[in-house]
Amino acid sequence: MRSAKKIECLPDQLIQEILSTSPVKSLIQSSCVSNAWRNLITDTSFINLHLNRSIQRNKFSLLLSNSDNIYSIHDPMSTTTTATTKWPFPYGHESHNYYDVVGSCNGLLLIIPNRGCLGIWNPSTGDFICIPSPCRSLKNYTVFLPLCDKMYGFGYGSNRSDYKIVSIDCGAAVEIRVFSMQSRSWKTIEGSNIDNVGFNTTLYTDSDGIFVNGAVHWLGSFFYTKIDKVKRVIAFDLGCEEFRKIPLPDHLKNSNEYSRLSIWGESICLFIKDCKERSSHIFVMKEYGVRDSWCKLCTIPEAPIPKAPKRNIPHAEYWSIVCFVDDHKILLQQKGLYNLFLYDTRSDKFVELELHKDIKNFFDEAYCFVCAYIPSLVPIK
Amino acid sequence: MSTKKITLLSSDNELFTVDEEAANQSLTIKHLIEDTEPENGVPLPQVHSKILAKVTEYLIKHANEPDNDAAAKEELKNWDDKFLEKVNHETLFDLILAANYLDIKGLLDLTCQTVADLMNGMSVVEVRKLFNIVNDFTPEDEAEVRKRRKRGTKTIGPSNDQANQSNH
Repeated sequence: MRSAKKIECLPDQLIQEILSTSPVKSLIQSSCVSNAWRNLITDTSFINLHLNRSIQRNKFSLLLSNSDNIYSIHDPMSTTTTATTKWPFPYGHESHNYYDVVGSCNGLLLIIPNRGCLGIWNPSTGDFICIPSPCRSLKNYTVFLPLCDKMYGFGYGSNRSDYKIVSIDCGAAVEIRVFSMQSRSWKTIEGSNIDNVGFNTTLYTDSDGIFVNGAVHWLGSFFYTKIDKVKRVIAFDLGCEEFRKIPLPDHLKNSNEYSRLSIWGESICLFIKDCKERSSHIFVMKEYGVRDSWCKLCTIPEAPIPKAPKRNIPHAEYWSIVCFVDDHKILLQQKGLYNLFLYDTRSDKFVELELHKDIKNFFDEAYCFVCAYIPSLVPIK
Repeated sequence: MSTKKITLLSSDNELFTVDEEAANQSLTIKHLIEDTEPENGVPLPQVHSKILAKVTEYLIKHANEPDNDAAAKEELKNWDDKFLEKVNHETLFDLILAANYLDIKGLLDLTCQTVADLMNGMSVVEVRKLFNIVNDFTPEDEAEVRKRRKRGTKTIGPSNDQANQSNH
């Protein structure tokens, strides 16, 4: 059948090697090449191999959204292959459905709209499902509120085939629920170690759940009195469905400064604004669960003044980490102004990320978010 | 301290001499030297001189990989990009086969990534041609796949046209 050829046919193992470094968009197209390729690309072990390589090489994309549009920037750090794609809203054409990404894991995003159901979305393949709401949880959720008493987290349990959502409602009565994709149902978590978390105090969490090392992590401020507050990392293990203790050193625990939790490689890190010094510090817990392993990763100097601030936003000087690009570059978002900056810890320089013309004006709007994700073929079953 | 030289013998009997440190990046060559201590060059009957010349060029350049020198790393990355820039598809595939046979991880990663990048802008027909693959879908299969892709793009993401419009 095969025509006389100049190029030698590559063995399957090398085809797999090549395809495992291909972007998802190209793989979706490649599944139409032949039966053998389609079988390979849809195979679970290939999907995992591709995901592992993408994680290893930190091949992230950015998702940017305002109330009208969703854009994805592929390979944003590349000087040659950066492409901006516009996606339709996963909820269909019922637009102006404000929503927020509250969890991200293996290319899947947990999204929460201002009305309607929670959704799990793979923006790269378009897979999307609506998750029935856990009782009363969603009603009071407001995406505009930076501090709220509902926490969400997304990740997987003991293995990658069971993705889970955890929802913690710290209202009058604490309710903890876990949704498993495998069982397709919510269950309420009751158990001994919930009381130790400290939900009985007034608690504010100001970050979305960060999935690291099998658990979702949130940074919480626990108010014992109106002014007496302590910071603590709340961690919920998605495998055994119990809370874990994550120690924080005193200087981080008692810090009153603006802070956010983030991921550094496979560790959790803490971004803390230093108002006195007008700079920010990043601390990382190098050894998971070990208090003494928290150490300072870098100090970020005062933010540059954005080129053309169009609105007066009170928190413009605050950064949040979008992601770490490599061992010395950090992608930061300027809170409120939403400008994206690449900060180089070696040269101490900020470079504003060049954005596609369609998204440039995006950031003038009141509602907009940015998140990083690793594009994957992970199906939502 | 003088460096030990290793001689490599291509399938068409051409000799290439490289430092042992450079040669050892190929685990196949390393094991051949350890096991057989060849005196008249390491025989590599699967690699033609045209390809082995490229491979040794890569091995020499990567012999002393910089650890913490950012500028040197950057320079090496630029060199890698240029290294495969003018290579035709046939040579590129031969290099993949050679990197795999010689077990040179860095070169295998680099060449595979280059092919993946190449495919990124290609149509299905062009990919089939590149890999010498015969379309084995029945017309029914193909209609089904096309239908599914179309349905997919509607709910998921932009069609290629849309994507291209917004690509700059």
